[in-house]
Amino acid sequence: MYALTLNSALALALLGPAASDASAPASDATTKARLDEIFGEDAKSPAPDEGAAPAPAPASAPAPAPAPASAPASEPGAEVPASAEAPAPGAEAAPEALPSLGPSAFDEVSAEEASPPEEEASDAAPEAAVETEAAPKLPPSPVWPDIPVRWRVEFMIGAGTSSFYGRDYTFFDDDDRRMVNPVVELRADAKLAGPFYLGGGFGYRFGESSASPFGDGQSSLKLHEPRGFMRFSYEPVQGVDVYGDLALGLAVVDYVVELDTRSEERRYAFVGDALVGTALSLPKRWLPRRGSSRTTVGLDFGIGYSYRSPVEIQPSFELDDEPISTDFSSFGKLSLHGLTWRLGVFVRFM
Amino acid sequence: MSKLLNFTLGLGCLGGLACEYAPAFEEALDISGPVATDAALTWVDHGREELVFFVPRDDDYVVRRRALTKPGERVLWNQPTLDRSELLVLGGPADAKQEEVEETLYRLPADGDGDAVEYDVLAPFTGLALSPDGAHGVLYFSGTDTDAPLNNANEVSIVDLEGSEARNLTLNGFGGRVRDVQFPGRDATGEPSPVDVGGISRDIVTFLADGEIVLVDMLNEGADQVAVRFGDTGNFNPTQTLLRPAGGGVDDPALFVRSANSADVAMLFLKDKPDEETGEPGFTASINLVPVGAGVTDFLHHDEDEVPYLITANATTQRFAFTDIRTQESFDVGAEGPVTEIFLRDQARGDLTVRQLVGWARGSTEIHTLDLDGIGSSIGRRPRHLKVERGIDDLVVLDNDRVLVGAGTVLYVVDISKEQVTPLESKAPYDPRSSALDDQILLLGTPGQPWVSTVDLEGLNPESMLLDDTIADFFYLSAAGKVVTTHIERFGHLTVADARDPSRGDAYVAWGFLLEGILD
Repeated sequence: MYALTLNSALALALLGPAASDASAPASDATTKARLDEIFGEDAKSPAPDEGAAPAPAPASAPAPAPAPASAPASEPGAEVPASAEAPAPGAEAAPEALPSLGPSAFDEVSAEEASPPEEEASDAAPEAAVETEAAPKLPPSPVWPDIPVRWRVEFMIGAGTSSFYGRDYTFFDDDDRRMVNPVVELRADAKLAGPFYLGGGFGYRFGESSASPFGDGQSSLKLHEPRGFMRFSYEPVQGVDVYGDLALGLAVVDYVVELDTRSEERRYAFVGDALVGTALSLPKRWLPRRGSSRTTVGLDFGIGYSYRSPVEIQPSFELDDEPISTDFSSFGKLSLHGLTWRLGVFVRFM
Repeated sequence: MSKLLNFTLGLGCLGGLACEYAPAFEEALDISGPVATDAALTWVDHGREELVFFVPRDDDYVVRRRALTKPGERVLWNQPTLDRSELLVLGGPADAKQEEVEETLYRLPADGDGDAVEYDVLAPFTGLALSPDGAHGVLYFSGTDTDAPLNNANEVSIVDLEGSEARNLTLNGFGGRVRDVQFPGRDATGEPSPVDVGGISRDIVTFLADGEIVLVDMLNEGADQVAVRFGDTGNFNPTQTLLRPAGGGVDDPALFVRSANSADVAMLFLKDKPDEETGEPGFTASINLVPVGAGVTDFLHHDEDEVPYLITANATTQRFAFTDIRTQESFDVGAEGPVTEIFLRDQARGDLTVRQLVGWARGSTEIHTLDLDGIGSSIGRRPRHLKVERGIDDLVVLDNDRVLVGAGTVLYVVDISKEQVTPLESKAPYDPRSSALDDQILLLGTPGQPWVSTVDLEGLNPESMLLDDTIADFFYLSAAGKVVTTHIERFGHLTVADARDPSRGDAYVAWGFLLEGILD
């Protein structure tokens, strides 16, 4: 870490006038104090016998200091090598090296802060030299390379409702045709090309309702729905995803009907969802580690259509020993399908 | 189609936020019944305005829901035809706002599967009387319990149950309110009962009101009604009618009318009389009174030795009275015990068959039998008695030879021809009305206990089958060959067993069938 920081600071000092139009003076006393505090004596300008230019030199140099010709950091997206063997910058190499500089591998803002304007640097050179000797050197702020996102893993927890069409559901719900659905999902996707992602995941959705059919009866319904899904997502702007989900899963339907006699039954159905939605997350630049951030959080809103294969409602109850053959009538098919939406919060690992 | 509509409507409401909610199962079940035909049990689901037919088969059953044909219509009542081969359903407006809905009587197949015959009957009648031959039904207001704000209490409708015509009329009486409808030619159930009046066959129905009676010919629509008033004193209120065809020395048919509070029986001779205005064939009645003494509780007619007798049972004197309706001469025979009701049967005496009078009374311990052959000339003939040890709670005539007597926890099978009284004892009181006869097998299913029993009337060997629940009602479905016992449960709970040999192995229980398909 130290080597990386020191090397970066040096490189920034050399790059400063060409790479930045920032106006912050390199000789800021406060910054020096901070440098001193962070790096101690090591942060001071290297000794002349080490072959490096004296601290004021970059500021007083008529031309921008050259960056190391082979600096790996010049490659976009690559991390700065934390190597102390990076070639020391030399005044001779500067003219040739400068044009070959690509986009800075360093945090742009850090570079700007660390590089005074060329004119100011020339004018203030004598004073800066004096001050440099009197105060600790300016430390570089931490820099975070902009690591491109190649895959994402998300965990979401949320809730929503399903609105069922048809009168059959009202046998299990006195209030309305909506069922509240808590939902959790674990999903992952990978970048296809450009801003497009493709992935999938697993989720679990729960629902519950109850009613009093025929005045004095009791009925209740519980849905447990483990589902797997595919997701196609488009991220036009970092932090904004528009997605489409196609899900398939199992619906475990537990129901209780108590009409003079209590009956508890379990049925199975398959469930399919088609959702569209948007996931809004904090973009990297708003995060502490900025381009290097690997974790963010966000909100997910999806809406779509949910279909479950009809299940037969056929209450039955336990009979006495050796009963007469008993047939329990089917009340009909419970068909749970309709619009569904959910709102959730998620944490994303990139 | 409805599912597609639901789906389409559903897409229009986001997340259900704008969806109208219509609870479908909030109201308490409003189901009445059952009514039994010979093939099915029928309930009326008033909540959905549907008829629910439960049709038992050998190993399974069919539940058939059938809505009436008109929207805004509800079922007022339903009742089987006399032979239980069809179901009669009166439909009317669901409420007073359904002005376009008229009262209609529907005649449906026993199992509900098939087209209905419709009769426009014009009024929400509350009573139905069926003619003994099953050919006619008469709808009338049997009481004041009607929803109509204003109704004509003497409006009736005579429907042809073998055709599709309904004849609506108002009784042309003297202002009395109809209390009962009777078919006086009641000799035998299932047999036609027309009488010949002046060469024209007439099927007479009588409408009984306080102090008067109205006669209507059901076969001849053009014939005038005949109304007879029994004085102004109000002490003759018709309660029972009996029609005797002409013959036996009597030229005209005679209609006997009994009043519970009179010492006389009115005898109305029906005579041919064309309508005075139109000249259409009609009939009239001439009144005679037959003194029988106070306390007569039942009567019938019988010709013996060419003498037309009116036989009455007198509960007060405990005697049978025989009155020659030509001369009104009479004699009586002591019943030697309480007697309130009488009926006739045939008794084999060697190669001969003689008519026999059977009398009995609730609460008594004897059934009296009196041979009628030569009754007019046999001085000192006495009845014979069959002892019913525990007393008679109720008596059901099974066939010509056998009657069933309920007496608390004992059920007596009485073979009158053999003068054999067989007690069948149980732990619960038997209801002889919850019984049926399938050839020589007597089927019993008394409510309140969990047994269906059979008695082979040849060997009188009873066998019982234990049900899983107590019986609420017992039905015998002759066309299906099943006995069905319902149990106390609002959502449909019954047991079906084979009528000839009920056993748990062949029986089955159906539960919840009144809710079958309610979610669909």
